Amino acid sequence: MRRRPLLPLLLVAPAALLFLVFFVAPLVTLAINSFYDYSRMRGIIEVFTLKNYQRLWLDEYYLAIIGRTFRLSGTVSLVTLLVGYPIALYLIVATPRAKSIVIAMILSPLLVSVIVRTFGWAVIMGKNGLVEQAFAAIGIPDIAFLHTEAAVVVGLVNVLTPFMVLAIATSLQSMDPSVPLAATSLGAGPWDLLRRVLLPLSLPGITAGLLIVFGLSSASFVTPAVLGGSQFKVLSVIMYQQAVVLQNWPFAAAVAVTLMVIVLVVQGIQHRVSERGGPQAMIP
Amino acid sequence: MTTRRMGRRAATGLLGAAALGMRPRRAAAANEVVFASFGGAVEQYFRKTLMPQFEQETGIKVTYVVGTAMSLYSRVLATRNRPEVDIYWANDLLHIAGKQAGVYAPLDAKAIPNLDKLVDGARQPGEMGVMSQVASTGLQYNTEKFRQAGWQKPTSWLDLWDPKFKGKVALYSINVLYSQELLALMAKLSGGSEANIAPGLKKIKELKDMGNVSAVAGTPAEMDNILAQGQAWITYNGCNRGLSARLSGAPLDFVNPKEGAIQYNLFLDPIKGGPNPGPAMKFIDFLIRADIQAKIAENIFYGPVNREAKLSPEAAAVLPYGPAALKALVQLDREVMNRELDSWLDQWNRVIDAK
Repeated sequence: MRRRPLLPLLLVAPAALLFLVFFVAPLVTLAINSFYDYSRMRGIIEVFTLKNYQRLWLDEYYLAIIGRTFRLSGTVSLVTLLVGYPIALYLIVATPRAKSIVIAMILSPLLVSVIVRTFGWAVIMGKNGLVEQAFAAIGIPDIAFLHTEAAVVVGLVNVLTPFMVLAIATSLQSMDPSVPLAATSLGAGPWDLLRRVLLPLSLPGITAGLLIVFGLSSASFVTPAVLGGSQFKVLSVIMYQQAVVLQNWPFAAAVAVTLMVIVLVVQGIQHRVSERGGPQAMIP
Repeated sequence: MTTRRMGRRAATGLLGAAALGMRPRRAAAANEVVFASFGGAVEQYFRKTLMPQFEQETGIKVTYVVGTAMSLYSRVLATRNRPEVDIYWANDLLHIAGKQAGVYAPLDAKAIPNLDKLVDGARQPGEMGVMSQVASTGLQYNTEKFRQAGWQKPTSWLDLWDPKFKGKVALYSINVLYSQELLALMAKLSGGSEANIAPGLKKIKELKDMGNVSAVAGTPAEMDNILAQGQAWITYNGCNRGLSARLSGAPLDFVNPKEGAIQYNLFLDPIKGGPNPGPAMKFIDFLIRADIQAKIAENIFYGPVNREAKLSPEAAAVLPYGPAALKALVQLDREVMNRELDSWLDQWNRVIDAK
């Protein structure tokens, strides 16, 4: 019997070990917890129950929150794509100097702590803030922008755009530079070039970007909590309230597992679609 | 073969490294204590003044673990099998909750001579923790805006419902103690009780529906911001926050409403199985000593429980201090609050936070 080479396994061992100990094991604990019972007077009761999932899935109130969470993530993903795609396109033609400046600019939100950044937005969007003044200047006074879904979308797009831009730019850059040239010399106008050459070739990047942004925004907490206000409830906010304020870890775990399962399902579908579609499918 | 041996050695090294990283808790040093409590002004004052003084007097070094009352409590619960914290300093509600959960240890009364100098009610049955400070929740308003509008200062909790405050009132999120207290108090004032909060909920819903509420703060820091930006002119707050804002020169004043400000208390609780029980008792004794109680009252604005603590007239006038002031405070049934908290939050989410 041939012995399996050990070295390849060893190469992935550190990462695998880290992943197992700090990612898989906590997730398993979380999943187990979500089936435990809880009462405020007795704490966590380690018996199997479906109570937490029933409470979450059979209540219109929570179903609306699930819906809102994924509507928010969907909106943020699409807006990030619209904002990020032109930047990614620009990056393939930019001079190295311009490129590094643009990359530094889009990465800059990530360098600021989420708390500082979010409270910064709260000041800009809040009463007498920049947004209000701008609207007042064009004749729309008394606009309340802070604590709306739009405010949350703006806050999330601000920080998630780099993920989209870098994902798309990577796939555009792996394209042979002569491809767009060839298309143009064969008579493709800018629109045809975008629709029939660039978009299909960058589809893997778009998919990756959408997946990352969707996942990150569905799990974001500080931005919806601060910019959305107390009325804007998403799953992460409910999780915080249940886990930290009420110590109802089993219910919080059930919310977390639900969030994770839905994100995984969405990612699975998107992956299948883009795998099957591929670049050719976009070309009529 | 060689590869295999190399591999095995590497694996051993790796495990060794992992083991090093996960070494067991430091052997409890006799001169250390881990104290967990709020951030902000409280933490500043502890770090700058109280901790150095304690270290100088006893040679015991204090480690301050900072967080919100709730997040620290969650941490205490999560680490109950391997406690990292010696003393947890928070309010009644978490004192009751933690006692119920069995995460606190009793005090060693012999090691805490200052226990004998406390006001009635501060010592707990079975020495389970000790009430270390008295605080109150009252109204806070913007003196400048009120003066400009020609309004009198607020005198009653029900002033929040005054139609002239349309778009001027800030609420706290129900995750914050002050809102849980407002809910209980409004229930009581509207014919309900801690066990029947429906009337209170209805009353606060009314406040929202009439358009008085212009902002909801998720944290005290956010409330500071809302008041500073003029997004709201009146709200309710803890006396410590109200008084420190006033002293910082902000045009904000704190008032005790005529129905009474709501009394809440701070408790020092030793954590069961904490790494440094001996030093913990010493630090608790230090914190309830008369001079330190007075210092805390004058600088971070929590009323003392040590009978011998002497306050300046300014602090004595506004803090819950002395029999008359204490008698004027409203008491809430914290046992019921703790028991019903899940249901309160759920109802508030659905009724008050609904669009």
